[in-house]
Amino acid sequence: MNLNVLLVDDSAVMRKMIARALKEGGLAIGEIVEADNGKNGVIQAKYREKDLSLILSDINMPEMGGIDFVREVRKIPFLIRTPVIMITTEARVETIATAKDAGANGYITKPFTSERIREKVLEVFKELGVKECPISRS
Amino acid sequence: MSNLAVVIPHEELGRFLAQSVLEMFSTMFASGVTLGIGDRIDDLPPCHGLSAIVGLGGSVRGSVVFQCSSGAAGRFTELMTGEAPGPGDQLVKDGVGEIGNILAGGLKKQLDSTGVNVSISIPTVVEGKPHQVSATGNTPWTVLRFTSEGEPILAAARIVHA
Repeated sequence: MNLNVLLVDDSAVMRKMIARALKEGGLAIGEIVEADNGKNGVIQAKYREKDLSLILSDINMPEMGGIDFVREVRKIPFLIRTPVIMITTEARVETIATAKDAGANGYITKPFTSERIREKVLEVFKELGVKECPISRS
Repeated sequence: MSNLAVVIPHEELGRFLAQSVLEMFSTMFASGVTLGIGDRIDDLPPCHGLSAIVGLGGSVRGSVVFQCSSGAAGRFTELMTGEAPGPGDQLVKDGVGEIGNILAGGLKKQLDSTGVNVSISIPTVVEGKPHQVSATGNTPWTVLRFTSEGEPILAAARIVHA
């Protein structure tokens, strides 16, 4: 199984960095779709809902932030159980709790390593009971 | 209105800032840097490269600033993305903004742990030769100066009560 990923972050550098970390972390990555804020993230999510297997999102973004983005994603029928991981500088306990209440499954704080992203993705997939492990076979 | 320097002394703010810089460099750039406790100065020096400025809100008001040369900014961007940026590449400004964001996020995490409620803004990046970042009021900046691959870097923070 290759993971088709939606990356939502207002920083183009951060989107490239996360994409690189996903690939270097040994995860089997298929297509990576990018959005520069939550609003555009929702548009991409609705357009590709059946194809998405993982969503990674920043929290602090213009137009629509990550918490509202997750709330909107969870209203999309095919994405109700799709793993959503927040990658952000916001490390406050209250913010993490709010993100979880909104529907996020995991949380990574910046700065991060490829290993950290891999660990969190695998942890979230395990918690959600996704049987097929998204490890690259190459 | 009191000055947060009373609650977060210059030395402690310098230590928080240094911890944020060290974590960022070791995690993102796989390189260590040598830092002191930092200077306390009224005005930031003119910058000949790029500045990332991140506003602090919540129960405080302030700013976090990260400054480096264009060359260092290009190198950091390449280390982050794995791609060498071209001349005038917008990614370089974006990269410096993200460094400022992560630096401010690290400082926020440590201030949060002391019970100071802090929120951070989206970064603003300024490029110009030279430019100077100034702030209103008379609260001094806590400044760390260091080098990375021989390039001078400056990280600074300035915090007052809201």
